[in-house]
Amino acid sequence: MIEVEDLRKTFHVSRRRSGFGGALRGLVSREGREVQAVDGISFSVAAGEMVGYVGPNGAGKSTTIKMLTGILVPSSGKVSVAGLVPWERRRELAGKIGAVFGQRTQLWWDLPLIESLTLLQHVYDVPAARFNENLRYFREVLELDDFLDTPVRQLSLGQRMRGDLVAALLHDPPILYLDEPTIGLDVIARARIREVLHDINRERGVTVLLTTHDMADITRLCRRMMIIDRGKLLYDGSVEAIRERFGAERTLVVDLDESEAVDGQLCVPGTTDVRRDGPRHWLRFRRDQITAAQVIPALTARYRIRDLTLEEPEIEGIVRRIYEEGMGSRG
Amino acid sequence: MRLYYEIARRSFSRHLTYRAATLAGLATNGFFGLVRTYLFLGFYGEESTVSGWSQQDALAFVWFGQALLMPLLIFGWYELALTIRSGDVISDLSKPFDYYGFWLARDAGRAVYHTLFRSVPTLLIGLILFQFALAADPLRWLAFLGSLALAVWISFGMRFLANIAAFWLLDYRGPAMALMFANGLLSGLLVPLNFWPEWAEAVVRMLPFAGLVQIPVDVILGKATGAELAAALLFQLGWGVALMLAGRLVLGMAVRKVIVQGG
Amino acid sequence: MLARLRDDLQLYRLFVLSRLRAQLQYRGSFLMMTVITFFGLLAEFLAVLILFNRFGELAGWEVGEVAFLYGIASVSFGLAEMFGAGFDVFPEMIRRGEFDRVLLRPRSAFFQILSADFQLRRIGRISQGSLALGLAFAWASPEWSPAKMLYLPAMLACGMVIYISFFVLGATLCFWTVESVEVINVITHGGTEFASYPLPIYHLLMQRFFTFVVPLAFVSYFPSLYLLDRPEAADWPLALLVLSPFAAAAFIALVARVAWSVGVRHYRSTGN
Repeated sequence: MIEVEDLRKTFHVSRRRSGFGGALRGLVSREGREVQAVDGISFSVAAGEMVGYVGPNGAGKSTTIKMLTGILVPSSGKVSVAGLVPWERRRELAGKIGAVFGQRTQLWWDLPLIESLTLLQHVYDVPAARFNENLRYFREVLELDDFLDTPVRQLSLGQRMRGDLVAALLHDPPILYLDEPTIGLDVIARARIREVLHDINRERGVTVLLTTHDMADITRLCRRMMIIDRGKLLYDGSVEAIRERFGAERTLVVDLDESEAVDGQLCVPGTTDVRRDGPRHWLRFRRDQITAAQVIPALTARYRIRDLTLEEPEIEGIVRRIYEEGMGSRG
Repeated sequence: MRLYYEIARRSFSRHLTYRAATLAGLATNGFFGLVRTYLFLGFYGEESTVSGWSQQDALAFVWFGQALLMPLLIFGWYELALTIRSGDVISDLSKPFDYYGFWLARDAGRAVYHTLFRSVPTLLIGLILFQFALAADPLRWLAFLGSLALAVWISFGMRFLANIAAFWLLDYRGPAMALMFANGLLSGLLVPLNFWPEWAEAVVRMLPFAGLVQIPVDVILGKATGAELAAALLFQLGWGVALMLAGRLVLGMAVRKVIVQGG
Repeated sequence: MLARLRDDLQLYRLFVLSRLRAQLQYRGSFLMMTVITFFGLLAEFLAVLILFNRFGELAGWEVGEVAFLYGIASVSFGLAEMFGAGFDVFPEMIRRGEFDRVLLRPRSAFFQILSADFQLRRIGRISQGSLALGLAFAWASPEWSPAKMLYLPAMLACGMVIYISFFVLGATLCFWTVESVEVINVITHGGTEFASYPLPIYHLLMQRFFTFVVPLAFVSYFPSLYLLDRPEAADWPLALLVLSPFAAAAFIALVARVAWSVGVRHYRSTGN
């Protein structure tokens, strides 16, 4: 469904000049430096797959997505999406993809949700019968009825996200790009969105490329993930392997009481003290070997503690550790 | 006093960062000045003096008018109304300074910025293009600066009232927009008041708007000297005080409304 | 090609209608803004009348004739603001990254932007301009013919196209810089002021510039020579005088369209 071969995008970042005169000069002269936003990426995604595409901010994720949608023309490389070269057939391809950008809505701010959907029906030329059928389906699975007639500006973030999801899927796109679809949502709304995404992928066979900062989105939804950093593909393989390697690891952040004088590392069985900053220590342990419920009493028995936080593994942390410890691609 | 000086100074420096907007604004002032110069030259035709104003006076009026637009914010100001909309007004009201003084100080800093970086360059553009005569008497310039400061105060007094109406109105833009249009016509910016029919001039000369553009321009052109000059400045001062009292009165009502209804 | 244009226009109509419905939900606000705009602009027109009251005429033009110029310029600009203001708010769209969304739809980006900020309250300026035109008819009482009756609306449409082209050119600047794009106000708002008075009052360089480079003179001045039977009309072959505004509008629209395409191409290769 998506074929990418040695894709590259070089940006020319010009030195920012201030003022109107500066802007004028910026129009003619081309000072600045080259930045490799995407630096030789290859992968392919089969129809019906749901793939996590993650990486730290500025890693090149959105640049890649923009090239896959045809918004951006690459510097070099080959791309085929649904059999089309995106940047040559942007308008044609646009009818075959749906996109949700969690931070921005594609709905009309001051119109009731249903009217935004009707407008999109015309934008995408969806036949009336097909439109009604899809609407009926989504009304049920996304429970839209409560707010279908509410102006988008009055919707909660979770409701708006559901609305955006319908908007992206009304025209039955075989491909769906999701960018942070759960950002800012509470736990319940998150779970509901994930459920729906799962169903859509399973029942409608939509190919999904999912970009997110929330590792839980990936582990719940995807079998495969790609990790990108500094424009290069760092990892392309099963989510399971990543989860086994890093997902089982948790970190307990410990703030010692001021009266506690510890020089060097904390000694708690089953954990390693990996970092220290003043009275704050980071203890790492594996969930499959010891539970937090066992670590904490052992810790408090030995030291006077002021505060504790349990950290889940984050994408940034995983990327950092892949650099530190290495991880064969195709894991 | 020190506090308000600091507020004004900060407001001044904040505006210093908008250099691109300043240049674009100067281009607009310059172009409007150009069009309006030829409009008045066209109207004068062969005449050298109309209603006591020479062609030179008319040209000076056009460019001083363009120069005064920004210090007086003739074209609208919604900053205070926006803080009412966003609710930031509550924290401003509870800070340990005089709310009216806080905004006046900010506005003073802004006006100084606009005088230096918008008025002076606009006047220079006009002078380079048309070489109209400027007053040589330093005392007249001093009187003009005093008149300009009073004009900023009057303009602030009216804008404060138009903005504070947002406490009661759903759409905050209405009063400020109405004020903007009234400013354009009644201040003498579009047509000097001495070109108006006498009865209309007599009425408009009594309104605070006359203190915005007409009086400072009268002062710099030497149309008001001696006792007339003193009367003109007193007129501005009177309106400045009256608007300030009105502003504080309405502010008090707004604060009571906030306390009663919690915003 | 033509079918695609028809589809795009159809969609434009739908977008505008839905924005219209949304605005009519806030009827009070809409009415207030429209009324204030109308009376505010009326005050500006009043200023011109006050000047005529004092001076009598402007370089050989009577008050009714200048009201005619003023009305044409104002209605044209009002129509452009109403139907093409999406390009006026384009800098904001680019800053918020909304243009990507536009490119993700299987529709012409141009028409999507055009319809992005349809504001019914612009009717305030159109009414003010129409009132000026009405007064012009009453005062100047031009000799009227069926041909002229068709020609006037055509000229208003040409003027609209010329102003929308300026909006598009201003928006195109955004692909290179989002700073100082306000300069375009000089030829949109400033241009309306310019086009409100007879061309010969301006310096010769300005006359030439706004005839041959930025075709503002075709918005009101040249059409008025013919419509008002001004003596200056005799300086030109009638066909040239009557047809030149169409040519000017077509020319600037083409320039704007090409510049826009170049801008979009630039955006799609640099992505910012």
